[in-house]
Amino acid sequence: MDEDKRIVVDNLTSRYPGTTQPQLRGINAEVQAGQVVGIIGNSHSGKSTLCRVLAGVISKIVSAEVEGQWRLFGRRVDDWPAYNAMTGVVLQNPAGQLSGLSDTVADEIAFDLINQGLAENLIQKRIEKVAAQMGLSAQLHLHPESLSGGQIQRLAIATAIATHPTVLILDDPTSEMDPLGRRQFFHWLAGVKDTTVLIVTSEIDDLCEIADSVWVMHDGQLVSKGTPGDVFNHLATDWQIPAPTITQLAQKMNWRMADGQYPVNAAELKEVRYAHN
Amino acid sequence: MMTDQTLISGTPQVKRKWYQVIDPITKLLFILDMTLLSFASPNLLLQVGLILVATLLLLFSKLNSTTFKALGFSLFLIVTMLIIQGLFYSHNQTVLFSVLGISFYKEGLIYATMLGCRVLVIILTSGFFMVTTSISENAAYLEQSGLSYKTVYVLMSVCYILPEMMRNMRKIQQAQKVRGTNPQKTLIQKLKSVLPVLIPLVIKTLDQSMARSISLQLRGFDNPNRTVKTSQQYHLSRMLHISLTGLAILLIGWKIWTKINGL
Repeated sequence: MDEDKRIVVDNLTSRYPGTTQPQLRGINAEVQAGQVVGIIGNSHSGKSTLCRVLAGVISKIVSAEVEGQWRLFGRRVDDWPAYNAMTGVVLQNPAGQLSGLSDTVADEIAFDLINQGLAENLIQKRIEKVAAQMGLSAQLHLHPESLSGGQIQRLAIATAIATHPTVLILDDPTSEMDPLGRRQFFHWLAGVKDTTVLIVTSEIDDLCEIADSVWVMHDGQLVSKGTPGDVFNHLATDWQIPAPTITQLAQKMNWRMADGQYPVNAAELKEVRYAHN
Repeated sequence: MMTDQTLISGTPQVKRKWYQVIDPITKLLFILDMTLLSFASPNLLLQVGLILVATLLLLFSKLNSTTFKALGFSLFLIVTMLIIQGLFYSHNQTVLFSVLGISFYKEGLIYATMLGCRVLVIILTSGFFMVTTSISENAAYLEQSGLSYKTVYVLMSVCYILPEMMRNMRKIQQAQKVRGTNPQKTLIQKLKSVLPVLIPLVIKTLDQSMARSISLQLRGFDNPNRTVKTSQQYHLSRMLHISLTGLAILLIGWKIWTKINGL
């Protein structure tokens, strides 16, 4: 398939200076345009490092030994301005992503758009649009530091999506959100079009509702990848990853789908229930 | 391409207050002139007049808790100066009054009052600048004046690194208090408690700065296409700059001339 329409990770290995073991070991993967990929795994499994590599933080901003190759829709990180322009990134600490020079939430969102040199009328439209998408319309005139942790996280996402990136890389973007905020976020994510999303999250139930594909990281290796159904029906015990609540329920009730797998999301559960009734 | 910041903020057009139409450079020159005026003459009446002007400016702009804290701290310093100079100033000759057998001298008290007035003038005028000018306004103004955004950011970063360090220190100390390792009941305990948190404080702040730096680069901070934000429209900026700079030159000249002639 045309490389310009895929994200390709080819035998990627990465090691931070001063460490003996690599944080990423021989990662191979592909993502088709427009897909939502969920990246899961326990602490220190390499999820954030993978995000950092794909975002270009490693090795363009932070030094690390990197072997192998990766390309976002045919573009390499060496072409930094173009590579950077096509990615929207939310890192683990949302408060650290704020510019520190904005008096209002609106100015903070505008920061990325001004950096891209967009016209002022377009900037205003984008601000209103992403603020509405992230539920921040009422907070546009507030100082960013007055926001709660969850709201700052939504602001960080808003700044990342304001530039209409081709690839959205989200590292645990809902860690500080309340249940309602989290649900709204995943609902929004389900409706995202024309953007390829790579999301690290521990919200497995929500992830199974929206993800096209799930990658399981363990000890720096990509140990499993596939549809949520394939991945969660074949979890290895040493990965120590829990199955989605729906799958656990179905396992207890022995509700299997036609292909023999347990359901992983609400739609599949309904399908199984109808079949059993 | 110029981008209207008001439009970006989506802020409705509201009538701006008088201090919002004065540009940051004018305010900085005003601090310089007031300070130079204060140091130009040992006349106490002039000092009182300057304090009055600066206080009125603050009262008619806006006051916040930070200003009150700064004022409180400077008043504490001034009282300390009055006591020390009133007792130990090297030119003390005339006893003004005695308390519990301890004599306070006129020369020392006048000297300390003069110093205190100058401190107050600086604190009050700086307070006026700080409460009426936001970091982003300064940044936008400097960028519009032709400085590169990177330079502006480095200059302005001082404004948020210090408060960030203070916040980090409070968090670390609170965590220590919760664990019972940092009682902070007396002043000595409070001072002692700062020392052990210095290293984690510096490391944490550096770590945050690193994260911010990464994030800024990801957000296209150094994109050559960046547009210059148009800061607010200011009144009479050029005329005020020239007048206040001229006054500063005159005051410096006056000070040098009086020194040379021993006046």
